[in-house]
Parts: sequence; C-alpha cells; structure tokens
Amino acid sequence: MHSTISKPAAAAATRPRPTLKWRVVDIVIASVIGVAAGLIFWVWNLTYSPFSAGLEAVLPGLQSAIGGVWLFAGVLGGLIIRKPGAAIYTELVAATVSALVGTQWGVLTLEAGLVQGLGAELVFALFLYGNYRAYVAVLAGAGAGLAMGINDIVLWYPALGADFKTIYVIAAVIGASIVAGLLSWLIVRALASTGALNRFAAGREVTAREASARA
Amino acid sequence: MTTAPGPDPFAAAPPPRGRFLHALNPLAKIAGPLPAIVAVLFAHTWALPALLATGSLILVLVGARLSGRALLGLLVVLPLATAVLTLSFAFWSDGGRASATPLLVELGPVRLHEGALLAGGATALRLAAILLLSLVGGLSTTGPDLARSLVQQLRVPYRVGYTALAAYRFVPRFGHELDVIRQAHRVRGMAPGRGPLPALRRRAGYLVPLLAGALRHAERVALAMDSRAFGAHPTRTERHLVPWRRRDTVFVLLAWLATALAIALAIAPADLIAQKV
Repeated sequence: MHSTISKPAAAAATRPRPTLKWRVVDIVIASVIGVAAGLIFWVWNLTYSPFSAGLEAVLPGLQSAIGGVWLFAGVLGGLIIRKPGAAIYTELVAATVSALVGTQWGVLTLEAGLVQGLGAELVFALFLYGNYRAYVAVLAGAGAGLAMGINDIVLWYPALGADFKTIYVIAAVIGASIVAGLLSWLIVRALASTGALNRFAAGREVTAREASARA
Repeated sequence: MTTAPGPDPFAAAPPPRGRFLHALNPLAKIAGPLPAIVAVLFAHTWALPALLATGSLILVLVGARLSGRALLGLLVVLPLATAVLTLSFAFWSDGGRASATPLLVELGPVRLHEGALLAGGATALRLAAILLLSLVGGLSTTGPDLARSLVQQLRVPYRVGYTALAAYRFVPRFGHELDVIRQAHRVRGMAPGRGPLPALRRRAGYLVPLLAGALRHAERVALAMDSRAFGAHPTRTERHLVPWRRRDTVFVLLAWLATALAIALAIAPADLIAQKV
C-alpha cells in the first residue's frame, strides 16, 4: 500500500533538509498522538492519587515530581513531528481530549495544556527545530515541568508558603525532565523500531542507525 | 463502508427552544467570559470570584439545556467541592501571615485562623469561578461547531481544524483499542498482582502498543485524505455554516459590561479591600 506513494529510496536519501511546513500526515499524526495521549492522561488521572499522596507525605511539594506524566504529549509530538508548533499543538489536543472524556479539573485542563505545551515548544524553538537528541528532549521536558510548576503554584497553591512553592517547582522540573523528556525520547525510539514512524525523519534516523549497525 | 439510508448523522441538530446559549456562536461564548476569567486569575479577595461564579451559574442554569448529571454536578458536587477545597487550602496555607488574625477553631494541634479560612475560600472560589465561566460555553457547544467557527470566523487553517476534528472522532476507537491491548496483556499474564505497583507497570505497558496502533491508523487516514486532495485548495466548502450574528455581538458586549460591573462592585467597598489577604 505504501509503495504506491512513497518516493524511491534513492530520492529519499538525497532529499535536502526537511521543510518546516506541515504536511497533511503531520497534522493527522500530531492530532492522533494528542488524542492517544489524552486517553493516557485520563487513565493517569484515575491512577495518580496514591503516588501523589505518598510523595506529599514524604515532603509537601514533592508530589509535582510525578506530574511529568501529564507533560509527555508535547515533548513526544515535538520529537516525532519536528515542526514549529508541534509541541503546543499535541499537548493542547491531549488536554482537550482528556477534558472532553472527563477530568476532575474540567476546563482548567485546557489552560494547563497550553502553558505546558508552550514550555516544551520554547526549548525546541531555542534549538531552531533542528536538534532532537536525547539532551534536547530532556531539556524540553524540563521546560514543560517549569511551566507546569509555575502555573500550579500561581493557580492552585497561591496561599502556601515559599518553601512549598520552591520544592514544588524544583520537583516538577526534575520529574518532568525524566518522565516527559527522557521517557518520551525512549518512546520515540521504541516506536521507530516498530516501523510506525517510517514516514518521519524521527523514524528514518533510527532505522538507518539500526541498518548500519547490522551491516 | 456501506451507506445506509436514514437521517444524516452529521446534520446540525436544531437548537433547543428557549435555551439561548445554544443559539449563539461558540466563539461568542468564549470571548464573552474570557475577560472575567483573566480578572479572576488576578483577584485576591473572595468577592469578585463569588460574584462572577454566581452570575455564570445563573447564566448556565437559565441559558443551557442541562442533563441530570450536569445539574447534579453544578448544584451539589461543585458547592461541596468548593467547601472541601476551602478547608484544605485553609489548613495548608501559610501559617505566618494568617496567625495574626483571630483564631476560629482549635482541635489539638490543628488551629484554624480566620485569615487562613479567607485565603482558602478565595482560592477555592477562584477555581470554581473559572470552571463556571468556562462552562458557559462548555455545556452548550459541540466540538464540531467549535471547530467550524474556529475555521470560519477566526481563520484557523481548515487543514488543522478539520483534521483535529477527524482525530477526535477516533476517541471511541482508541478506547476499544486500549481494551484489546489490556485483554491481550491479561491473556499473556503481564504484570499480574494487585496493588498500585503492578497496576502502574500494567498501565505503562499499554503506552507503546497504543501509540504504535494510533500512528498506523493515522497514517492510513492521512493517506485517505491526501488521495481525496484534502488541503489542495486554499478554501473549502462547508457542510453547514456557523454564522456570527448580531446577537453574538450583543452577548459579548453584555458579558464584558457585566464583568466590569462585577469588578467595580468587588473593589468599591473599602472593607472588602481591607480583607485582602
């Protein structure tokens, strides 16, 4: 089925730097990653509270470390699509879907999604949408975590002490670097090795590396 | 896919009679409450959130057709949740600033000061007000109409608007796919056992299969759209129009006026400013 539309391998190899314009497949894939991530957010919304309560009992504010699960959509979208706006778009679609399926936070989920997507997007933009190595993914996760931490202490915990706020933001950044950043990068690698990403630079990079390792 | 004769499932539903919110443009229901939401974000007293929450609650109750579940949520769950949040924010809040205010309750080590209760109430009411203000549009708008008005009035590229809409229609499909993955994992005995840790391991295992399946599905959809020349032309015909009428402008202006009035009312009496925590 795919052979009828994909270009010959030789043409793909000599293709210049990919453009930053969105193809139809980019929009569809970004939307679908968003929708799938939204469902995962929804599952996490039902699961997270014992973990959050446990961390909070250890040190109030530490619970933000596991908030990184809600941030992976933006980083993942940015890593796969590699176009401007991909991180914001994916995180926002994911937030919209989890809000529509039903969350305890209702429409506030959308605001959170926008802010968190912006955090990851800014990091990809800083690297001019040209660098998608593991450390950039970790930084993008940290950017999303910083955005989430600041958003939450302003909106949810304005009356709490400075100690709590500091711990909350630092834990959010560290947790998000690992969960949203590093984990997303590992997911992209796992997805690429299933062959599902072959129409994307992200997938071709991994399959080319594996082919040269075999050779 | 067969085309069964029958009513068009994607036709616009006629708006319910007498419920004026359903007859407005989705963007009007976002633009109207938006300044109020921004004002609430910066409010420090309980007066402004309380005024705006009450106002939007009345607007939703009068203007939108509500299901029994929505009514229960608005009239029972939301006030209860606000009360619980008030108390929990009050107990967590910064003791240093509030301990100068009168002591209300003392139960062993737990002390509740008036200032802490007011600060907790302000935070909880802010969240309730933001929720209610966004429900003005949320309870009376369908996703497809929102996407249409984003494309028709806000000039969002239709390639993005309609693709997002198509992706949202995948939700039931992914729910089904998640069920299949879950069953397949259970049959193969992956991460058995009870308690939070095996549950987390099971749920983490759904991630890559769900995403890989989603990507493959999306690729087929993109191929189908490309083969129908989706996105080839700068404009596109619409299945039905979502117009911006005079009543939308009137609604937005009235909402802004009401917001300004609420802000004036909330900051005017000096004793309310003195309660600023």
